[in-house]
Amino acid sequence: MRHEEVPLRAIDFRDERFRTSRDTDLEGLIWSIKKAGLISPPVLCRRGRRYVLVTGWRRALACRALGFRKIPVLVTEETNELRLFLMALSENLTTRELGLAGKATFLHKLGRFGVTTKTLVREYMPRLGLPATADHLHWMFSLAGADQAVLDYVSEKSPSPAVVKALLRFPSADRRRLLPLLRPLGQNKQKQVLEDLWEIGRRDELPVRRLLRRKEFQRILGSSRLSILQKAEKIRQLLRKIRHPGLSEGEETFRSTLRKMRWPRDITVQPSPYFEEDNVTVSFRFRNREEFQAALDKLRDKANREELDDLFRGKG
Amino acid sequence: MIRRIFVDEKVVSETLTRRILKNSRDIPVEVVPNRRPIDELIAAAEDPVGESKKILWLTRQKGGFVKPCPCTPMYIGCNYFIINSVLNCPLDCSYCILQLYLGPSPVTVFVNLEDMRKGWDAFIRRRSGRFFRIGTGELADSLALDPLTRTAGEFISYFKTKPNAFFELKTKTINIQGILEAEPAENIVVSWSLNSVGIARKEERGAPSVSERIEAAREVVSRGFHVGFHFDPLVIHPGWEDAYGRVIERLLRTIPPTWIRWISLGSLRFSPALKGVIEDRFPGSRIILGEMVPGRDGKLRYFKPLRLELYRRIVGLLQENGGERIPLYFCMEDGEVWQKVLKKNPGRKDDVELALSPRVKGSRSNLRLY
Repeated sequence: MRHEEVPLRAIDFRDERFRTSRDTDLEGLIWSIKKAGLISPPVLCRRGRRYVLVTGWRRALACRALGFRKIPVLVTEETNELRLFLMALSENLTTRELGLAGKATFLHKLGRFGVTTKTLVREYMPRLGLPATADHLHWMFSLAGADQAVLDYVSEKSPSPAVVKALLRFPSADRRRLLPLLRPLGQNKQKQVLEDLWEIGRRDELPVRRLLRRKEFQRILGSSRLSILQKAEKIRQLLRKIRHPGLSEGEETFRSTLRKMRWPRDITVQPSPYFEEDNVTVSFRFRNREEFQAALDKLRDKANREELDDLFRGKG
Repeated sequence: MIRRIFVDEKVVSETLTRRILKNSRDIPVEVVPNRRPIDELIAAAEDPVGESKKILWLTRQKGGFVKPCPCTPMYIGCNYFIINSVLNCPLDCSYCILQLYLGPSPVTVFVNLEDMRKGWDAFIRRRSGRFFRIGTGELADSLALDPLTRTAGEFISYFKTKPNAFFELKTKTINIQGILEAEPAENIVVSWSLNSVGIARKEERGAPSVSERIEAAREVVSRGFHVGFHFDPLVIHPGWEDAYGRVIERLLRTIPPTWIRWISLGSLRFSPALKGVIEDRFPGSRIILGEMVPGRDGKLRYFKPLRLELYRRIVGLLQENGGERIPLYFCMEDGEVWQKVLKKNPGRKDDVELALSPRVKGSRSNLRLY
């Protein structure tokens, strides 16, 4: 490899064959180059009259954004594309934490450069901290082949593999519809939304687009009063209700019984989780004998109400 | 079914190894120093769990052969003991916990039978005077490999001389030749897992049909063995009442109830992790689409009112078809289900065990399971 000064316009930025990261946030890097200059030169290879970036994509893009005309680089004589790509891989693995999308792109490109499935599974997947199985590789390939919106979402939000897997089950058009609903939610809720949608779709043979067109969904999605987060949360709750009709009905019966009984706000009463046990829990706080006595009086009053039995109705 | 056999080089000369190889002449065999080549083969497959079910690994059991059935926390168990002579199963049922519990692990036969017998002797000595139920059908199907291992008859011969043991061979297969050749005994039970015809066909890949299983049970009863049945997992699916009704009607028309030692009932349940496995490996399966919620042990189960309805109907169907006096018990259910469906609450697992052991003198259990 030899050191050279190369005009930026001689680099073919459209040729992304060795590119592995889609990280476009260059702010920190631009600041660093401004302060300290380009410390580590990118590696390039020649393709005809042009240069192709092997490593240092973000550095080269940052220099371009800073208006540099020339940058110092290392030019390699290597022509074997797999070896060049491995160079990019080695550099990435030693300098930064790769996200799921980055790992998927790596594996996919290695496959395209001729590395066999067996070698990918045995050698590369453990190195990338992934389960060394062919089915996991298959799944990573489908992530690598996903549309840009999904890859951006995966790079930006770092969802768990379970969430990504659940998202990839939907057709591309549905994924685009779902991403705005997922973004504001936490990981567990994202997973729940995707699972409920998928299972309702299968159970009722109803594609996502038709489900979301239903009146109750449209009312939420079209509301101008609700924020994105509120819409996402309401959609999640609605999906849960459709997915678990018996449980939702049980919960509603419980709530309406408490309303009918005018249950005191300072005494909490809860059914067992998912009504799995045949009991309810009452809790309250008190600071002295008088407060304790007052709470007991309220409970004694409720114990005489006929509606109390309704709290256990619907339990079978 | 088994497509390749790997033999641990340390067990080549074991009697059971030689017997298995003799009974499987058409299957390629490789002697290896350890399990690594198998694990690599499995890891490279698109469906590692499916691949693992096609590989037979003959090796030595280094740990204990008898363990308490793990059951599940927070629900009532039945004090069962399991014999780990075989791990994993060549049948491929969508709901099977072994996909997760054992993972992509080859079907393993522990061939050191002598050590196993010594382990059993020690276990039985420790439980001297106390009744117990024990079986081989928890981490494997008891008879799926019997055409190769021919161990069922040997196990029966061993346990028939142990009066405080109820030995159960639990299966979905019709590999009963070894049993028909064995001498029956009061304390031996051969049992079948049953389901509706549709669920068996769609979800129990590689298993014989329900009617073939019932027919096999009839033959075993004709030979003089008692039988048991496990309606587990009961699955709520379109037309389930009629579907289970037809199976129960056929079962009790074919098998005299007095020959049925017990029937267990359990509804579909699985850990959230197994749900992912089912979705990956059986994308066409609809069993996960029921209304399932996390139970006290974290496993997903049908919402309780649905479970109660399911059990009440199944128990009703058993009673309507002449099975009123067959001992029934639940697998992994709580006291509320026992009480509301069977009108009795065992409270603790020892009560279930004792109630299933009518021959035990001095049983202190007041629980009758019918």
